[in-house]
Amino acid sequence: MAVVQSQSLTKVYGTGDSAVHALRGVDVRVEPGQFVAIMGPSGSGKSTLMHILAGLDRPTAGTVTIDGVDISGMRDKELTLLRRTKVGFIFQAFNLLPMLTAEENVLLPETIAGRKVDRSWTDELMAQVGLADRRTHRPAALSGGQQQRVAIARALVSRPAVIFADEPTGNLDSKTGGEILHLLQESVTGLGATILMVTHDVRAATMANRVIFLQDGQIVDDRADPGAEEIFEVVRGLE
Amino acid sequence: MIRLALRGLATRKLRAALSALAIVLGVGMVAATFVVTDRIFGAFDEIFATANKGTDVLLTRATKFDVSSLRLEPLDADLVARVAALPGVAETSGSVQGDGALVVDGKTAEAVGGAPDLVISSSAQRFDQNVYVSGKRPVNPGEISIDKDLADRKKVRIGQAVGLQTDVGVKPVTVTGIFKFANASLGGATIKIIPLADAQAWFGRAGQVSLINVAAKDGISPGQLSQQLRAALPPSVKVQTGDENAKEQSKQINDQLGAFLRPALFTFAGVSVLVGIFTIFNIFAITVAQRARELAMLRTLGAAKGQLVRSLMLEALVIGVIASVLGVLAGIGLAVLISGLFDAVGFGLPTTGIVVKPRTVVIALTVGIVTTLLAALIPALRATRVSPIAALREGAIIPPGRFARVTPYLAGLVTLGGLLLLIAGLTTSGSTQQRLSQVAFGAVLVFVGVGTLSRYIIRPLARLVGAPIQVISPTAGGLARENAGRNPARTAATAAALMIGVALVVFTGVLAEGLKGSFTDAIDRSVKSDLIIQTKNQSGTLPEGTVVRAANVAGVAAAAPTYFAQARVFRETQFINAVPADAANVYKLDWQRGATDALVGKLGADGVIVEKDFAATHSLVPGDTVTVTGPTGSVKLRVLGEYKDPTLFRTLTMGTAAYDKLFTDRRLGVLSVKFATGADPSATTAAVKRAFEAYPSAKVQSNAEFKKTVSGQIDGLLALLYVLLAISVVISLFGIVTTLVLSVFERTREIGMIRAVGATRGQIRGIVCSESVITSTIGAILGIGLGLVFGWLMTKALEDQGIRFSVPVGQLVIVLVVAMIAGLLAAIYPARRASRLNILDSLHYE
Repeated sequence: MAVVQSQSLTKVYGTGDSAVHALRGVDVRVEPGQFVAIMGPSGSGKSTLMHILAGLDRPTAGTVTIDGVDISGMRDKELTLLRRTKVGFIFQAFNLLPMLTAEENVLLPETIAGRKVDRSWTDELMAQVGLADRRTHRPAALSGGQQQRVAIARALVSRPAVIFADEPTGNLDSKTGGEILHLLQESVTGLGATILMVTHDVRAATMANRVIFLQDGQIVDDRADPGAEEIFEVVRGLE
Repeated sequence: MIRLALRGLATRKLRAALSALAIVLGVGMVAATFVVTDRIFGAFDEIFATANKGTDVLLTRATKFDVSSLRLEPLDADLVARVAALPGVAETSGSVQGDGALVVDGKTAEAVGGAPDLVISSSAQRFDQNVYVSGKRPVNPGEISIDKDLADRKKVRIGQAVGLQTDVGVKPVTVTGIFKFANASLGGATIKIIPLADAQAWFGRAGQVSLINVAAKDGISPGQLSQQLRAALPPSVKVQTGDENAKEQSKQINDQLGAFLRPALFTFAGVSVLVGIFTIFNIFAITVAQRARELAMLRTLGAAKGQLVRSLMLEALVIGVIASVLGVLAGIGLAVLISGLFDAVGFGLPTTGIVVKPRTVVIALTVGIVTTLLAALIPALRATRVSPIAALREGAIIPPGRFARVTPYLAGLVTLGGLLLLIAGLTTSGSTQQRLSQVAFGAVLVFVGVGTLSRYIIRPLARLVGAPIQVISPTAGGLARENAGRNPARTAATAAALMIGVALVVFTGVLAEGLKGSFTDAIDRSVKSDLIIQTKNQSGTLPEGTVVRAANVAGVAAAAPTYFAQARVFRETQFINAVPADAANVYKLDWQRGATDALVGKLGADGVIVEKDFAATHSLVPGDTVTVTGPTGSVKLRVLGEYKDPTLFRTLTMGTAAYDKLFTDRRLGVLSVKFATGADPSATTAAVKRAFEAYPSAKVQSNAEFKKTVSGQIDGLLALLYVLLAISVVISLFGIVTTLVLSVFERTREIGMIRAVGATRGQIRGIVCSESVITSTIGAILGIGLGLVFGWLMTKALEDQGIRFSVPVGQLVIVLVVAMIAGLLAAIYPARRASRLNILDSLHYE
């Protein structure tokens, strides 16, 4: 069963002459354990696609299912519960709470959901992201890469069906960015996570095991395990 | 989630502290109101209770209604011995009460601020509660003992020869003792004790006493004795236990003074709280807007809308609780300040030590916490409109809510409703309390309505107000103008807090101006005389002998006394006037319906002339009869005519012959002296003043001086009101500081950018200061406008009483300038913060 699936997604902003078609009938199917990168030039609709797949925005037409559940018609309450159990987020700007320690930030989804903390899972996660010795540090005392590691652990803590990552390396230098991408890769292979990542960074996309190319609101290509050369080629073709 | 909210507060300390300040002062004012009034009324309770401590039963003359007078209606002195002989009675003691100031070195040492100058005759030892610190009780004629406060104030020593102002002139007396009375300050009051015989002779009570203290024999309770005495004595004698009497006096003072003082102080506390609400609302609204991204992120992590609201409300609760606790403490300080103000303005009110009753704490805390939560509610609910998608976007903003489109209409309706309620409160009949609450509630609605509406005119206002600043400093002024207009709702809410204080200042000023005007007009219109003589404290009574003395001065054509008293007319206690037959020589009444001066001469023992307003209220026409009841008797008076004078001669005016049938004592309030034609004014004035050296408590003033005195008193009161209002203005200034600090915080990146392209620190400071001045000026302009509207409505409603509307232009200019300076002061700290931002850091700031 697909973790995330969409059928003929359409998104139109505005009406009449000023209407902008951000998505024009997108069908996506993400299988468990996949690390999917969505690429495309600015205005291709990649961000819109992710927002709609994650239930943050509503499609004008079409349906989205997450873990087999149709989320298209869900109300705010149901979407909130869905986010608690099925969805994780990683942001370009990390979005950690400055007043909480690294560990408290990681546990924030559990706190919000009022779930009991699984100690051994937390320990494992902190070790996995390499922050076992930084648990009590505040974000301000962490480097950008460390902050993003905290954010990754936070996305993983509730063992969501899918994690959405929005330009996770956008605010990082290339070395740190590479480490973060490796961590994401390990999360997929080691912890069995499913990740859907929006990026315009070719190197980031090479780390994924599948790359979807978007242009003018439509999927124009979909490749499994493409190399850097291959991706460059496709991207060049789009421009 | 709870921990999260608390942690959030701990990190945003500055913000929390600034919002707390707004609450601290408001709660402080509420607590201070209780503390101040508790101190005052506690002192009265203490004084009355102490006075009756040794007294089981107290006998006074029964009156037909409650009169508040130092001169009690008399009882026959024989009664003292008669009661002493009754069964159950251990001892009795009769005493006489009067009022008159001590005269030290030819100058009167009178009570301060309308407090009484008590003269009491010495009672038997067991009833005497005075504790002598030196000397002894006066026993022989011509001896006197005085309270320690008075002795200290005037440096009077035992054995010193002084004078006592009495009904029959200044009597020479020798000080034999100095005592303390009750465990409270007496405020401005003075107490003098003289032997009974002197008191009887000097205060018109020959063969009479004012009251009789009775002690019960052992084994008989005060209650039993009072029952027995009530059965044994005629109904003209009022029998009370000492406790009952003390409670009655406490109640009377509470009804009179408390009915004015409590609502007045609570109004100011209410204003402070209201301004606080505006300020906290604004701070929370800004905070929520600035945290939109964080809130959105929490939503992506699965936080429900309710969780965000609860967490924000919890923050408000914590701030509210801490600030309210601090507020109660601040209230004690404010209470001391207010008591000090009362003293400075010359309110001679007694006080006890500081008392903080449990209900003071409970109510102040409740008010603080509830208002904080109320103010935070709308911003907290606004947080639910943050979409989780905002976490992924730059510059997250909160979308307008469902009601955004109807807000202006709603605010308009609220304003209109408030105005109507205000007008209704001012014009309709109903109980004073009901009308006052209508006015107060109406004003609150208008403030809220205008505060909300003003956001729609902030941009043009900011452009207008900013224009002159831009002339002075083109860069800073221009940017500041734009900044002020950038977030109109925020600027509006900040300015609205200041608007409230300014509106009330202007309103008070307009009203005071009207009062002064009505008084000055009345003197100009109604008084033909050249000198006005009153006691120095204005509330006292001049000795009757002063009339003849004034009339006999060379160059004086006529001296007309005006007597005042409280009487029952149409089932209400009213202040009434009495004049002698020749009063028309001195007063020029504005006669209505063809009445003439001749009527004054015809008043006699059964005639009365009525004031227009009073006549209209009771539908009186010439020929009707009015029954006027004094403390011990009634007269039926025939209405002779009608005049108009809502200021000096309200209700009705009778002849002295009728007056004497109603009251034992004449209360000579004002003596008006008219010069003979051709007499030299300054020489005659000097002569009258010389003649009155024997009456040092009297103050001889020309009409112009008298007008100045009254204006000065109104100004003194005005100053007090301004200081009380200043507290609300201070709160709104904290609001401006907070808004600016938060705005600077929010615009960190922008400020960095402006600096990066070459703006100096000074220019950055200029921008912030200009924005602050623009905001405070807008607040002042709105406040002045509203204050004038309120003032106009109020003076319109009081037109019957001769109060006219006029714009105090000078005062408005001062208010505007002060608001601008205040705006500048409020900008000091935020401007410094802004100018010290590191350019590089701020450019990277999110």
